[in-house]
Amino acid sequence: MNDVLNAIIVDDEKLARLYLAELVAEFPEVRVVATCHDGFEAVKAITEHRPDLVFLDIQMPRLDGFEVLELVDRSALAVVFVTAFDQYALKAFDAHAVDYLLKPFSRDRLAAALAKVRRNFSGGLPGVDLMRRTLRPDEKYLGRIVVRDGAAVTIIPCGEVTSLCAEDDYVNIRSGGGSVLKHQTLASLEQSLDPERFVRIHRSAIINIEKLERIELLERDHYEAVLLDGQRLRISRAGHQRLRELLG
Amino acid sequence: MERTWLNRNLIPYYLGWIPMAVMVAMLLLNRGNGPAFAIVVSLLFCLPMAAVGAGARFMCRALPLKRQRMGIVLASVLASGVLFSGLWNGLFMLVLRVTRLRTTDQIDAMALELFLLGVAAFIFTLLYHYLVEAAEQVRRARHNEDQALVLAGEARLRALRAQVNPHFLFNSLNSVAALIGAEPAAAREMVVRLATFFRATIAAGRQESIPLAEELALLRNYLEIEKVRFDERLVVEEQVDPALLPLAWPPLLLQPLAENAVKYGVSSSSGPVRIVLTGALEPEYAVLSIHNNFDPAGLPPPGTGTGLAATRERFERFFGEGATMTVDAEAGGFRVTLRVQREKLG
Repeated sequence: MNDVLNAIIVDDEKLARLYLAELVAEFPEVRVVATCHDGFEAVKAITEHRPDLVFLDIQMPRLDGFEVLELVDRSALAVVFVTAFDQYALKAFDAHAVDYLLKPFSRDRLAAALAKVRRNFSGGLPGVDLMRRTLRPDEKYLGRIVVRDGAAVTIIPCGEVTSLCAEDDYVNIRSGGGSVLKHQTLASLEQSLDPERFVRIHRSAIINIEKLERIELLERDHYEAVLLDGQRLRISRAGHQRLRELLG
Repeated sequence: MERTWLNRNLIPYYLGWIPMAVMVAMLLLNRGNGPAFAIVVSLLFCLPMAAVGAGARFMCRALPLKRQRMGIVLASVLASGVLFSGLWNGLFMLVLRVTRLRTTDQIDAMALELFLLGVAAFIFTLLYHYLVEAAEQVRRARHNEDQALVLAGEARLRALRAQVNPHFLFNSLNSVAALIGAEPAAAREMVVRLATFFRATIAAGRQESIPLAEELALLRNYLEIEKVRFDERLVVEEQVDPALLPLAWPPLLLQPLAENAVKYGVSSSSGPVRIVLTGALEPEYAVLSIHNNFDPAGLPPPGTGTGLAATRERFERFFGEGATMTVDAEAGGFRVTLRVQREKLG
């Protein structure tokens, strides 16, 4: 990390961006390289500028703060969440490069956040799943999956997903709109999916049971799932057990 | 589940039979019977009759006391009394005759008096049941009334709690903090608007109703605050027939709907959000509606369903049967329509 922190401000409210920029201007060691008014802009700006720090509003149109973090390279990024109201503070991540500001915040509070970010920079960011669960314990499962390919961001509502298959370090997500690759392990993605709807039928495959057309018995103890889009996936013995439990 | 013959409510009823039993015993004594005979026969006469009478409550329920049917009820009570006492005494006399405990003459001498006593007892029994039923009805009515009051109070409180949305409060304060540096005059205006909003919120807890004109002024004030937050993204249009303005309205009922509209619109896209408020007079209804556009691909804002339900409950409770609130999510738009019976306009 250099002596100067390159920072990006992300907030959908103009006055909130203005206020933050005004306060940050008092700290010569921070340089604002971009301000963004929604999540898409933020993903683009973070990818382009590779800032040290992002001031991130959580509740934003189109892409929320967590989704933005999911889609960018977080390896050298510190985050200060800027939010109006969250009972669930990020105290759990005291040793990490993450802090939060509650709107409206004072200059002193901003100074403390910057100091903390500098101090813990090497701690890196906690996992996005963990941050989401800590700040939004009521939202247990993902409503949609976001994928970035270069500068293009795709949003897939979970209801439209037919299957998710592990492919090396990626997950191949099939939906009505075709298939996309997401850089994440299947196991970590599985944790954020609604278990009433998604079932792991095989070590490397999860299906949406609403998209299951039928189960075929090919030979003794060898089952295959046939999905509504025609895809055929092998079902393991344990997977068959889980499917039967879910389907009743 | 209450039991028909043995429950606590029937204790006074059974106690009421004691004087009856005493009367029957005295009657038998007067007719020259021994005390043992009088007591045994009196018990044999009264106990089964009391038991049958306890079941007569069903007759009271089937024939409730109503002004227009009083004649029928009285005739039925009398007829059933005669029938009941006749059957019962007939059986009783038959037993006495068959067992030859008393001579025919002695039995005949008792018959009329016992019969009349039986009719009277049965009528008193029915009267007792009617009284119990009436008391029960009053109690139930009071209970329902209390419950309605409690529910109305709860609905109002819930509506108020929902109104003080922390996101709204803190984001607005943040806007003020921003404006103080850049545009002090605008900051001052914003503070006044916020004060107006919170004053109205507090007052809404005490006022039963306000004229729709005032409600719309509060709504405009609220939307002006949101406009400062969301800048040129928020466009508000209002077309309300002035004939609607005097309508007595539950205070701040529209505010959560407007807040939903803002939240839906603003959270689903970063483009402009148009909120259209219309009010019109139809032949039978005064109709208000709030419409906002939204991007169906966008993020649904968290927690709007319960707010809508609370508003619906409050609206229907205030205007009573016939007033309806409908919610339509059409392609690219969301509309809440409130219909109030035209006669409520007075």
